[in-house]
Amino acid sequence: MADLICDIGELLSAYLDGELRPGELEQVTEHLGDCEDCVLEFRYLKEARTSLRTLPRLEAPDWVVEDAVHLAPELSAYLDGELVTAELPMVIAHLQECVRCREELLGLDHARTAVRALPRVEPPEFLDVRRAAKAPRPHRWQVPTAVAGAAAAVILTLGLTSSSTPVRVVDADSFADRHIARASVETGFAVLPAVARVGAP
Amino acid sequence: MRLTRRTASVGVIAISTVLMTSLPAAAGSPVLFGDLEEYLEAAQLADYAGQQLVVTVFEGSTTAGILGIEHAANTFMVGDGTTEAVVGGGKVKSAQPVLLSSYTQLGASDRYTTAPPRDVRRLGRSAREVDVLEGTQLRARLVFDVETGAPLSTRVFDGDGGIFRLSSMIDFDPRPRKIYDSNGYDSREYEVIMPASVDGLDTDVAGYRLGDRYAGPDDVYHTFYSDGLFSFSLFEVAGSVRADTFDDATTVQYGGSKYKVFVTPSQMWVKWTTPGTTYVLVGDLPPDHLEDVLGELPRPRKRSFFSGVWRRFFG
Repeated sequence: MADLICDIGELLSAYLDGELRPGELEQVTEHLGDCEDCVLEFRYLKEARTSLRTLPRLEAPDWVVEDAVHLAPELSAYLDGELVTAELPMVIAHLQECVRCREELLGLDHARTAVRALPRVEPPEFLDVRRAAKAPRPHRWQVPTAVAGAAAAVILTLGLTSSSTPVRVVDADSFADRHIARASVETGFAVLPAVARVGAP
Repeated sequence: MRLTRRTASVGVIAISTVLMTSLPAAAGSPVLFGDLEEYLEAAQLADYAGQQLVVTVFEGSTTAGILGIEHAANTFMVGDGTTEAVVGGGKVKSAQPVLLSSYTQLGASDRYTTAPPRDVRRLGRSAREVDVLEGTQLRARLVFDVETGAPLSTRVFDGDGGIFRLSSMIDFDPRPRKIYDSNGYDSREYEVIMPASVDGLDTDVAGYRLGDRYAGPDDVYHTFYSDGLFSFSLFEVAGSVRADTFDDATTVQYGGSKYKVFVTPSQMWVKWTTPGTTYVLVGDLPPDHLEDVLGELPRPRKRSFFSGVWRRFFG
């Protein structure tokens, strides 16, 4: 039994690290059903592992998350060179990590290039009497083109800004509790206890 | 031997005695079970306490935990040493208590059958091992304590026959130390979840039957499905969602679509988005069932540029 305990002891550590082979998993669980010493060893290892994971760590700013679609305004300012000093390194650091924001930045850049390639819209004559007095009257075909260009610019801008959807912060743990509450009235719950916050690694 | 009225009477008495000893016995004695529903109902009513080891294997990774359990009066008291919850009867009393205002029990389905049980020993106790079959495939192996009907061990297998989840009592006491009065609660302490209409919803999703739908106070819709053994809930949230739960999630591909998946010892969490809606699925279903279910739910999609423009102009 002492030799068996030593073997299982090594497997317990591998088991917590997710490194057990399929056959070893059943061996460990079967043994834990009969050996109090190994159960105590397992609990100690688990507590140590939990303690390591709960050591303080630096929290990233709220917007540095994978679904940070609200980073879009910063990306636009970044392209235009308008980020303030403190924001610039954070945006750069985030872009190095986030594929989604890099793709969005690329899309913004393309759109900005496209918008800049549109025909320039001249202000209506009534807004500038001097220009109206000096400049020749536009040909008829130039007016629709200018209007179309302005419309395209508006559409592009609206399309880019509409891709940013509001982000809701939800307590997903409450989802688990609601699911568990409902599952608890089904017979299957008795053999498959459904607890989420309790027992999470 | 010459058959007379006397010998015939003795024979009838003898046969009757044999039959009566094989019928279900009185409460407190070992019980012979029939189908899966009977085993599960007995487990629901069992009184017991102990430590339970729960392990889940998913995509080559293992996650595990030990839970302290007290079960009595169809109510679980569960703790992991730092947090505790009381679960049962449509209620969860934890840090944020939740109470369902109503529910429709689904009960057994015809998806599963059981093979003839085998007598085994577990934790020094007489037990019965029952194989749960889905067609011809072994889906679960359950071990029940003969004296109490309590589940001593549960193995859930994936579609390829590999083990997906294992829960095993590593310490067992047929006498729970605490009994929670599930009827003696103050509903004002709970967040009450109200029912919502199920009109227009699929009544069956990959073998999981529609149970109930709820509208939470945070405008989150919650729809519950069960196949009689496993279950899941689908949460629909308008807009994008940020949830700490998925900070450590991995991206898994099902049917050509990508999902965020996070696995705890007893639950699967899946998150994905469609234009305007974020879905979160929580459940204990095995991976092959999960893939089938996701194939029948709305697929992940991103809003196109022009649909965003259209939405901005026309709503």
